[in-house]
Amino acid sequence: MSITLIVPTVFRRHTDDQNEVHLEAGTVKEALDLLVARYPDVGRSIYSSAGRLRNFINVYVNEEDVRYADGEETRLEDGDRVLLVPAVAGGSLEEQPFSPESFARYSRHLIIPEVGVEGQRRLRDAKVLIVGAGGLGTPAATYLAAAGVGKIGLVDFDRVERSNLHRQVLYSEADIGRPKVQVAKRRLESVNPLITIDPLEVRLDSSNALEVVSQYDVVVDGTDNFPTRYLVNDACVLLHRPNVYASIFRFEGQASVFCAKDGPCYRCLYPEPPPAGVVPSCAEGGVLGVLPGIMGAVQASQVVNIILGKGTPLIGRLLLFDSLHSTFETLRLRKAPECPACGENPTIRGLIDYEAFCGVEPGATEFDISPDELKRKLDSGERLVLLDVREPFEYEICHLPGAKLIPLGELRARVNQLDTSDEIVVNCLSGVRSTQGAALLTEVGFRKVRNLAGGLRAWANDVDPTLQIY
Amino acid sequence: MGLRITERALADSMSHAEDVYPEECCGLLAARGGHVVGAIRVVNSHAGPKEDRYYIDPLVLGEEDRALASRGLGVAGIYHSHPDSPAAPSRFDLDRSFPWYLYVIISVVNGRAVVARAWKTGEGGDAPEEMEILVEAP
Ligand SMILES: [Zn+2]
Ligand SMILES: [Zn+2]
Repeated sequence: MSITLIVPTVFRRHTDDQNEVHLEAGTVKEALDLLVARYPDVGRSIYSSAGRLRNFINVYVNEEDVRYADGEETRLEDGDRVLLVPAVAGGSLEEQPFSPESFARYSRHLIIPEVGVEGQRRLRDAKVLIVGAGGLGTPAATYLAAAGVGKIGLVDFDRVERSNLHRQVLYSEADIGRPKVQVAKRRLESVNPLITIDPLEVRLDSSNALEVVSQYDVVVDGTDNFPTRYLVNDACVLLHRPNVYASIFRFEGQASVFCAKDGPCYRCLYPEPPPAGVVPSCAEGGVLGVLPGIMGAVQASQVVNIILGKGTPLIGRLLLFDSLHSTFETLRLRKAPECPACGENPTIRGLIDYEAFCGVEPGATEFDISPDELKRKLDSGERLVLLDVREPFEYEICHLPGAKLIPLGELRARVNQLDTSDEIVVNCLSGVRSTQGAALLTEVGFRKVRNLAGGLRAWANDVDPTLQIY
Repeated sequence: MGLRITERALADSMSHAEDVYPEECCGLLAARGGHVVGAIRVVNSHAGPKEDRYYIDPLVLGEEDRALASRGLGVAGIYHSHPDSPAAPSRFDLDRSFPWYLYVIISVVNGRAVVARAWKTGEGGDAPEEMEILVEAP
């Protein structure tokens, strides 16, 4: 293959004053070997004494980094332009020397050639933001803390609940009711006292996200809702931070690295959120407890790859894990030229109102009835039909007295079992399925339909604490 | 051994350092026949806080290098700033330096570029060698 190899101008004195060299080569390695054979002084400059390409020298084929192709084995076509160019970096911050304690703690890292002292330093100097200290965030934080990531920011506004404990193994029974980030800080700093955890007990939103994200090098998306996921994505696109994403539902997990240079973002894959309520959350649909442990650990391994600058992170690839059928798969993802965030003509130049964008403005639906209002109506003896749209096994755990059970999936076929003249209050566990149920009934002609806002969880909170919640 | 640089190129690099303070600036030293005749600003693409780190996108460096080559110039070195710290290479700088480039480091204190110093780095653990800056007209 006839290719052109372009070398930095500083080498011209070794290359007969040429900075473009024409060669016949089938792979990147062949091209470099031929270059070095023709101009040995260039070889002495770009290869270390061990004969390996010097650190921080990058090779591009037609502007694509060969590390994301097949490295030195990347095949060349006629007319390809191979660019050899250094990645110049530096900075005033002095690196702290390694303590004897660090050598002992990280010894199993230090003896891996891809990590070594240099890699462990990079981990120590890295700052990672984890959004969500829940099912994904806690395993990711645990492994990153143990691995020696010097500074980890943890964003979460929630307190530990009993229903978290089947998967968020960082927390224990005694922590129930305490702020997650405070508990996590104490636990993680006892796992590794050489690092710092920033507990960020805030709700991440458009007013603070850029400020928070800009303090970190890499972001881990461990969120469980669409508004925050789009917020994190857009902030990462705007600030050029890699966004290490994962999501989980029941037995299935997915992971990718978005917003990397030249890679796609979350909006390239999902330009618009699904209509509110169509995709159930883990709170609504459930999740196998071990699954976030696996996916959070996948996120941690991606972060380590990115910090070390080694291996092939999941940039432009989506990893799918099915824990029920025990399969891992990866799909190719393309960067979308029309992406509103990272495309050729981006329309998103700042953060927006993500609650409105995802159509989840709480209380905006006139269907909604609060637990207190429902209680008043029932107490005053108003005639209401209570419709429960959960599954029978859920109904067995708890239900409102006298509630009629029709699972959401059967509702359309069984609407004739309801009377359009009745006032119907639809309920489910957290208010997501019931919103869809109420919308379905309205669509087929029911006029007096309301949705119990927040579902039985809110009912147990506000009205009846004896209701057995799950 | 000294670094020959035009007054204009040196002043341009120092005002760049002031413009982006408190972040680090970075740029290329364009040279012809052993004389630095221009300071070319480059975006600091470090993926993280830029107060104490800089990174030059290799594709940007490659592009600027070719543009200079077409005008009979070349990249002889790199300049960058050290906001509120001395104009000497840090260990981090040295670990990432290339022996074939000259390095100019500008110390910026409270937003004012106070001094520029030039360095040649060796292989691996070698101590950097300071070069005298020889300012030439214009
Ligand atoms: Zn420096
Ligand atoms: Zn995109």
